[in-house]
Amino acid sequence: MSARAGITSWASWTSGGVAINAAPVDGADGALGAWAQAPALSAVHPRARRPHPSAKALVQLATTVLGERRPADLGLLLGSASGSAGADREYERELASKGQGFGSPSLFVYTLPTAPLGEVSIALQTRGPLLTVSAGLASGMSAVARAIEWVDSGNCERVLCGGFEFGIGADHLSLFLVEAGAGRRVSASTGFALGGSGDTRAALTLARSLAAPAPSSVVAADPLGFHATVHLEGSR
Amino acid sequence: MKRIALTAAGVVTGHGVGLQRLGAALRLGASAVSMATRFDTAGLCSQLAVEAPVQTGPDRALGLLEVAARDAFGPTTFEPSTRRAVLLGSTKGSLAMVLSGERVDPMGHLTAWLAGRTHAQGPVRAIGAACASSSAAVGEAFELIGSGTCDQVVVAGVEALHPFVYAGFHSLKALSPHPAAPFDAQRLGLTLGEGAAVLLFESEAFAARQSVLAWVEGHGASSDGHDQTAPHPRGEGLLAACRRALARAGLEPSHVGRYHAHGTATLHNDRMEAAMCHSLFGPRGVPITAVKGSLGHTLGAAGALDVVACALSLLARELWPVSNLRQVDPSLEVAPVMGEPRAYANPLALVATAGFGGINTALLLRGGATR
Repeated sequence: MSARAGITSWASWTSGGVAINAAPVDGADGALGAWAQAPALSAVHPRARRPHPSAKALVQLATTVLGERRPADLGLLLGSASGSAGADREYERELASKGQGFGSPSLFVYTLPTAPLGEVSIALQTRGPLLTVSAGLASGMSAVARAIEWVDSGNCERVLCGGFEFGIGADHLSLFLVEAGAGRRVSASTGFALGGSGDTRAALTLARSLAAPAPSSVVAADPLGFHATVHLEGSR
Repeated sequence: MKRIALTAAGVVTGHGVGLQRLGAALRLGASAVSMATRFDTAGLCSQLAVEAPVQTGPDRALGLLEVAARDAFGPTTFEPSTRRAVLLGSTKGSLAMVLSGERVDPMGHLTAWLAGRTHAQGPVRAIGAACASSSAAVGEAFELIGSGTCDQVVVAGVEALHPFVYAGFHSLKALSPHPAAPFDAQRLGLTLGEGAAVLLFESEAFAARQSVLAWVEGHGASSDGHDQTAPHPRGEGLLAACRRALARAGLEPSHVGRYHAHGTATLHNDRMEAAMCHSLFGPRGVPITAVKGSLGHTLGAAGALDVVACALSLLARELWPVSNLRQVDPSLEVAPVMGEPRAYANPLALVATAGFGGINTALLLRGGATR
């Protein structure tokens, strides 16, 4: 029997700034990329060439959530409704201006939604599973819910999970470290039924809820039918 | 040991619609590579592609998905169930619609359509793992059924050719001017293709008394932690995935009868897989099969199509030749299948997939039996 999943550390990054375990970080009060004291991507990733801003933000926040730890078996699982939409538009504009044969290979790589997570894997030298999920407005919460199941089933000891939206309005990113047998206990469920509504920021709501000791549930739903729920127990 | 059954499948590839056409073409090593006609490739380093010979509406990805679902299920209707999931693998989904200005969720509307078609009310989502997307979806199906969360999981892999993606692979210098020839001494890169596969996986209890195309007995996933586009040169990430799949099944490399390769025909990929095979299987080696010389590299759909292709050859109890392979690269020291199809009894295959970002998936497939 594997140990129950819990959230041991979390962080969010919005236009309002960076918060680590609900505590605001001084000097990080602007848009993504405006965090002067953020860990530099070049310092943690020797193979970085022309990393996209989305990858820089993700690597920086992941490094912060993990602290000094570098678990090689770390699973990586993020959800996003927009995926690579921002990079897609950049690449399309580039092809239109330069011609079909002259797109940037560095930018093309970021037209995959998994590319920013790939940078995290390279930076942290992880060998665990790596996925993104897309479930409309429930994408980020679906990723958290699935990460909890990965840990509960015993397939992963720890998973860095959460949600991100880049390049389609207000950028935001939230990360949670889910581990076996430690932290605030959580459980999850996902399903599909028509009639939901919500926004992509449910994972940010989860980050805020973690600061309160009372039991609670955070629900994300999408008009197409996707929904995901994460239940927080009241004790650590 | 828990295992899941592949009980229904539908496909559309460069060889047309249906398992029969696909199996007949792959058995003979036929290649569907031809000149690209759906968009202009002038000035790019290849003019070749594998186009699916079906007419669709402007949302090509949705059209391919509908064709594959029709082939898989025909008129079958499903009772609504919270224990049925839908997992869809694609790299770009309905990109064409997004770039034409439509307000559409390029992954969500494909996944939601398939959930509606199959009345799935359990977990429903698109899985992103680059070129391993749909094989990762099969792996997630293995986990969802194995954990008891679901009785049935519908897995789809779908990818439509698009000039945006074609230009990207040109910029990476990954396209071959000649038809892709996995493991060949003269290989120069990949040929892009399109297609879709819709697969129904069921628990062992649900699959009782049905024909089973194949059993999935193990799943392993890993990341290289090495580079965005280049695989780890010794295939250490893929090796970890293969070992995890074997460990989940309680099996050893010596049990495996064939290695169904990702086999893109790029210099780096095939070299990596050869090195990985040496590490995993040692001097014994195993026969290597691969289908991207026949179907092209269908990116997010490739893993699901690999599962179907491998399942068909296992059902036939044969090894099928690698398309376009004329002379095996002697530096690789591996034994891909060449020439005529040949009888082969070992029913266990290791199916490997690798994607950008260093994402790896391995699946253990055992041949099924039709009733």
